[in-house]
Amino acid sequence: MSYVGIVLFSAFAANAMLVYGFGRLPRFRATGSGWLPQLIALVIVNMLGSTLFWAIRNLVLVPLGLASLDLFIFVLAAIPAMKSLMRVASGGKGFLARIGVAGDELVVGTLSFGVALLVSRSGYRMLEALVASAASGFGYWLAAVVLERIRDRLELSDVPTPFRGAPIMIVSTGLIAMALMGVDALFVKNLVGQ
Amino acid sequence: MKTGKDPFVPNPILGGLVGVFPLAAAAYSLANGLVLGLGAALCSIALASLMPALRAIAPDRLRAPLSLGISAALALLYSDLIALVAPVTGIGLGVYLPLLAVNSMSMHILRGGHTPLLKEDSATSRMIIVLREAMGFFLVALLIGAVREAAGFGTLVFPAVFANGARLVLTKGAPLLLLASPAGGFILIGCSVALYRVILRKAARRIP
Repeated sequence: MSYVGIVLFSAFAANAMLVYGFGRLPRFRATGSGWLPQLIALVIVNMLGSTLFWAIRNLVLVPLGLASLDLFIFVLAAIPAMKSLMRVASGGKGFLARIGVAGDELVVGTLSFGVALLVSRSGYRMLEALVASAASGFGYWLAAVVLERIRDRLELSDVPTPFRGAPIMIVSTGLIAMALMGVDALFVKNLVGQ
Repeated sequence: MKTGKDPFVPNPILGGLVGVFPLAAAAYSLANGLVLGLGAALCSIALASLMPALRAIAPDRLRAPLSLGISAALALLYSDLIALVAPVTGIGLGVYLPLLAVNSMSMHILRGGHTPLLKEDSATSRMIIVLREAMGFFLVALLIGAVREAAGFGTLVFPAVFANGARLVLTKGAPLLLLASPAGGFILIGCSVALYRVILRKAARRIP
């Protein structure tokens, strides 16, 4: 698949939140770090995690015949390094600090681990894995932004009491996921070619 | 509000919204719900049992990476076990089995779960809460998987290791195929959370 295809596939057809269920109900507004730092943090954490996972798995563990230990080695070797990097960034000033704070929360979670596992096990080359993980981060961010807008609207709506808050947001996530069901791998291939 | 001797522990999925997203995506059949629910429950019980020992030996700085390492080791062990006893389900679940290392249930246990509810913070009472949460997670994951398979595909296929791979045909065709997709999973879980809230209100219980 071409790089454009990988971007479209990773961001929409294989959306990390709506198709794979990685991450959790977004709470960007609660963290108060703003949209842009969140987007940059998502892309950086996903790219860093996926690159390290890809390198550990394909350059070290697969030649040694220890590929099944990929997650364990990744957790012990790469996660502390990524955490330290984000802590250093969050200790900085201004925009960098906001990216660091947002990134620090994302390092350990199903989103960064799931994307790293997916891209390093799908036979991508390193650059393709990098592009796919960045696009996955963008796709997650896009879905989270749409859900935040829906949350804003729902706060002004007369939602039945039991559905107020999380339940209506989970149902809304399902409806957005339903809207994306038409965009699949075949659609992307037809759109951009092989 | 009811006041009993034991603290009220809400269901982690329906009350605490723990692990909702991966369940919506992956628990689309009875077998998947069973394997994911059992994995999350066993990993959380094992983690909760090992944490006191880790607290005693490991210095503060190393505790977080080590606990995550233990969680990853448990998830990998469970993945290997499933690959042996139910290989088809294991392949179908793909990355979701290793992801048990960082799924919300494991993170919830690593952060202390509902132990702040306890008046007496003893190891036994903490373990009882973890067991109740793990059981709650397992049962709801199983139920969600069963409902989605029954409504989505009209069948109930039991994993080979548990019921000799029995296949129960409930209806011809797929009555509500949407429920087998992640979109349907989100909608079903959202409605289940709302229903759980209604039940709690009727029982005069409150999610802490």
